[in-house]
Formats: sequence, structure tokens, C-alpha cells
Amino acid sequence: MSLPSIRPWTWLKITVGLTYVFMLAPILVTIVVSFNAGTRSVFPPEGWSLRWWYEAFSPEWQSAIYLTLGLSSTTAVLCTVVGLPLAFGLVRHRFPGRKLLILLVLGPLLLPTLATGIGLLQVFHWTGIFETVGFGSLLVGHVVISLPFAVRTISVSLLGLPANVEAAAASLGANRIQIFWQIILPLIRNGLVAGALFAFIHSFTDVNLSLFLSGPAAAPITVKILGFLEFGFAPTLAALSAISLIIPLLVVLAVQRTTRLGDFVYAPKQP
Amino acid sequence: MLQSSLSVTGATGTGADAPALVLKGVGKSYGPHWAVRDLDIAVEQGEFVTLLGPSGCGKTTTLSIIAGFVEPDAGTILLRGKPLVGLPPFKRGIGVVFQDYALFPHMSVAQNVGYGLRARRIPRPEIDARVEQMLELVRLGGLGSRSPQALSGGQRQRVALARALVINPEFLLLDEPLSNLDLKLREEMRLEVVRLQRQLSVPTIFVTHDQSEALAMSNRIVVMNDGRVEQIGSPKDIYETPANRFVAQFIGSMNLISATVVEAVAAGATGLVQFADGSRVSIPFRTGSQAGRQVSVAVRPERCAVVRQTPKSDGTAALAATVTHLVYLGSKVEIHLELAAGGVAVVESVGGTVDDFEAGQRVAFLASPQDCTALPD
Ligand SMILES: Nc1ncnc2c1ncn2[C@@H]1O[C@H](COP(=O)(O)OP(=O)(O)O)[C@@H](O)[C@H]1O
Ligand SMILES: [Mg+2]
Repeated sequence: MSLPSIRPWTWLKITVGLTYVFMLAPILVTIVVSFNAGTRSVFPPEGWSLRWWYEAFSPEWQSAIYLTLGLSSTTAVLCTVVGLPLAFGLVRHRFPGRKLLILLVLGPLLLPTLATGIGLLQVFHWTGIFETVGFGSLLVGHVVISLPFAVRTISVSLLGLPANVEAAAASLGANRIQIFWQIILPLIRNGLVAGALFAFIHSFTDVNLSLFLSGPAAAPITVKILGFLEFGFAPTLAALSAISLIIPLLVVLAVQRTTRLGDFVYAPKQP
Repeated sequence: MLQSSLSVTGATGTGADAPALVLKGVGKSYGPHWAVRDLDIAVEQGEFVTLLGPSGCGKTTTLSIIAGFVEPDAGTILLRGKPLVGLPPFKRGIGVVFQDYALFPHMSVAQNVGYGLRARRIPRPEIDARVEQMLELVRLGGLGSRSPQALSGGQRQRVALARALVINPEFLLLDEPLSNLDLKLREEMRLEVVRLQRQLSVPTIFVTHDQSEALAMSNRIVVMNDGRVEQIGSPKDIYETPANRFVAQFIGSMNLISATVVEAVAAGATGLVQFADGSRVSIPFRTGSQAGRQVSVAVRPERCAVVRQTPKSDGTAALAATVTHLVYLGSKVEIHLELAAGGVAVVESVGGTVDDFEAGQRVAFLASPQDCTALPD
């Protein structure tokens, strides 16, 4: 192999290597630190112990984790349920206000979450629908910021539907409801699952918006960790970080077994 | 063996001898452009009718209107006397085979074929039995559990056919079903499709842009161009007495030589025409014409001959010509001519050899008047 053709590959390898180092190293360090025996978060650890993990599973933290899990799962379900008809409308129909709807749906993706948060806070305060902060407002906020992911993946899978399968089903005697349940839904299943998953992860890892909408009774784990940080980086936080890292990871791995997620991260392709 | 399970109670013209399908004045426009216009087509019971025309002439639009995927802007459609316009596709009982087959990728072959029965909520054991029977009929017995992706193009084609036929459709629509297959398979499937259609006696409209497919398979051919019907007739009619220049040139190849009508002719009568070099011949006219009108004299290359000397006038159309080049095609030779009367002509000589003529040679182009037709320009 000649020199000029080696070099791009070398650079690619270096880039990939650096990516791994910068993405994985902090995670590994955090996990190692959480098993530290000492009271300070230092690396390398000053001996081994599980005490910070016991701490992390104290009732207070546990309830924060459950709240976050509940919030993210509900967000994922709502985003899918709301995202499906939205994606249908946007992909299949041309109607006045379609452009505006696209902007509204994708807006939270483009705006700083800070702006969305302040905006929502004002709306809640002004309308008084929810107590300004708390689970209800957190849920609404998370659905708003996670919806673009669901709409996007569902739209991609709708656009990727093979041509004429719906017409074929109709000619064979299937009505609209049968076509939806028996043809469309199974064929966009991957998109639905991926959309729900991305919404779940986005909600689970959000801190920016949650900062605005959390109340004393309802604060997701990310907000709690941030609050706790004011008192210094205790190894408990390392354990909690590890937990909030492992949960989405496990969900992704579980979903990956049944769904081709790569299609929605890289190139969409239908079976 | 398979009878229609769908009962038909039509308002008008229902009966054993009513046409299976009638299109009257059907039109569809996209913006200012008419995709199809003024379609008048009738298909008899058990008949195999082909829509033939170049790409973009409106064949798929016509099928979509019949199937109910597209609502026409004008006209009426009667399926065994029962009006179809406004009826959703799933209530029409019309089987459709798409160009890309449109098989359901998430279902097995058997599930694909059985889908129409499942949609009709037919009990499972009956579905299984009818699917099995249909798969045998299209020679796919034993492949029911396969995924469509694991099949060859020809096999997918058969699945699509089986899926459309298992519902005992009142009518079958096939949109260029053979055009994605390679040549050898395509010719095999022609026979297969015709065999199935005859066996089940289901009235069919088949769409193609391939004239040899149309000639080989059809009871009648509808030649379409630019959204309109140019001619409807049997393959023989279409080939031997084309209605106009478009049909003449689209089906097979045709020599078209300009001439002037000498005296007024009635439709179907014989009339005298004069070529640019002054020679005259009396030939049949499909449509009547006034004196002085320009026409094209049409004659098939295999119905013409070339001789070295202009013969004595005996009623044969003989035109002075020069050989431009020869094309050797194995079973036949094409002799390309430039006519003294203007224009070019091709003569197919079966059994002749390339050595008989050479480029630049002055010859006479001959055709018997009954093989010629005058077509309006
Ligand atoms: N959905 C549509 N929107 C606009 N124009 C269309 C549409 N469908 C078909 N057409 C136009 O109608 C004409 C006929 O198309 P089609 O029926 O697909 O032709 P064919 O099947 O003979 O190739 C073409 O000019 C095509 O561009
Ligand atoms: Mg077409």
C-alpha cells in the first residue's frame, strides 16, 4: 500500500481512538470512583468499598430514581402516542399551517432548552393548569422537548414504507382500520420503538428543563445530583451517575435485541 | 373451479351478457394536465384486454381509477353493470398486481396470499385450504412459509398473482407485471399469466409498454397515447390495419410514405393517391378523405419487396429508390432505401442474402396495394 492511501486511515483510527478515550474514560473513572473506600472522590481510589452504593440506594435517592423512571417512560409513551398522528399528518397531508406545525414540533430541538423552560414556566404560571412546578409540569415539558425525536423517527419510517402496499391491501378488501393495524403499524414498528426509546433517553438524561420545572416533591435524579453537587462531589454521586448511566444503556441493549435501531441513527432502511 | 364468491346486484345492464367492465368518458386531470381523457373502453366477460402505450401515457392512472385508488374527474365506470365511482377500493372486489408486486414484507408467502381472505374474516381453516390450492395453481406449492424477500423475481410475481386471484376477483388488473423480469423469464411468464387467466376466466386488463407482449397475450389491445385511446382492436387488427400514424409506428415498424389524395374517397373504400414523383396507386382508405389532402401510405417492411428494375405498371406500387445500407439480422435482411419520391423505407427480406444488393444501387421499391393503407397525417 502506498503512503498517501495509508494516511487517511491512520487519521481515522486516531480519531476513533480519541473518541473512545474521551467518551469512555470519564465513565470508567466515575464507575471506579464510586467504589472508593475513602470519603473523597479521587482517582485512583484509596481502597475499595460498596458504602457509596448503599448510600445511593437510600430511600431518598431511590424515590428520585423511580420518579425519573416513571417520568421518562410516561414521556416515551406519550411522545409515541402523540407523535404517530403528528407524523402521519405531516408526511401524508398538505394542509394550511403545515409549515407552522413542523416548526412547532421541531422547535424545541432548535431552541435552547433554557428558553423552552422559561416559556413553559410562564405558561403554567399564567394558566394555572398545573401547580407551576411538579410532576405534571415536568411531564408536559419532557413531552414537548422529546417529541421531535419521536416525530422524526416515525416520519422516517412512514416515508420508508414500501410503495403500494396500502393500495394492495385495500384492493384485497382491507378497510382503513385493517390497513393501519395489519400493514402500516407492523411496518413502522421499528420507527415507533426507536422514537419511544429516543424520547425515553432524552427525558431520562435531561437536566436543563427539569431545573425549571422541578419542585421539592418532584425532582428527577439529574436535578437532585446537581443540587447535591453544591456540597462537593461525594462518591455517592459517582455511584448515582453510574446508575443513571446504566439504566438507559440497559434499555437500549434490551431494545436493540428486537429492533434495528441503527436504521434511525444512520440510514433509514425498511425490511 | 373457482367461482366468484361476491354477489353482484347491479342497477343497470346486469346479466350474463353484460360487459364485465365499461369505462365511459373517463378522465383524470392533475392541475391543467389531463393524465387520461375521454376513455371509452369495454371489457367482455373472460376477456384479456391490454393497455399498450409509451411510458407516461396514462396506463397506471387508468388502472388506479378502475381499482379505486384515484377518483376520476369525469366519466362513469360500470363493473358488471354496477357503478363503481365513489366506491372505496376495498369494496370493489378487483384484484390488482403491481409493477413492483407490493408484497407485504412482514408476512410470509402464505400470509401474503391469504391476506385478502383474512381481511374478509374468512375462517382460518378455509384460508389455509384456499391459499394452499392457489399456491399449487401458480406452481409455488411448498413455499408458503418462505419470506417474500427469499424469493426470486419470478416467484414474487407468482405470489402477487396468487394473492390477487385467491379472493376470486370480479376483475383483474395487472400493471406491467412482467417488466421487472429478465427476457427469458418474461416470455415464460407471458404464457403462465395467460394460462391462469383462461383457466379462471377472470376478465383482465393487462398493462404494458411492450408491443410484442401485447400482441402475444391479448384478446384485444387498447393503444393509448398521451392520455387518450388511439385504437382498440384485436392484435391482428392493430397490426394489420392501424388507425393512424401513431399506432402504425408504435406497433412493429412501418414504412410511411407521403402522398396526395387525387380524388375524394369514402371511408373503407379504395382511392387513388399520387406520390411526389408523380406515380399513382390505388389503395384502401380506413377513413374517408377529400381530394388534395396529404396522407401517409403505410406498409409493413415484411410486405414489401425490392427489385433491380422497375417493372411494367401492373397496379403494383413501384417507386424508384436507392439502397442506402443493408442490415444482416440472421433470419432476415433489412434493406434500407431512400425513395426518389422523398423519405426513406425499409424492406425485410426473409431468405434473401446480403449479396443481392449493395449500397448506392438504384432499385425499385414494390408493395401490393392491398397491403398498403392510407393514414391521415
Ligand atoms: N399523482 C400524480 N400527480 C401528478 N401527475 C401525475 C400523477 N400520477 C400520474 N401523473 C401524470 O399523469 C400522466 C400519466 O401517468 P401514468 O398513468 O403513471 O403513466 P403510465 O403508467 O402510462 O406510464 C403522466 O404525465 C404523469 O406525470
Ligand atoms: Mg405505469
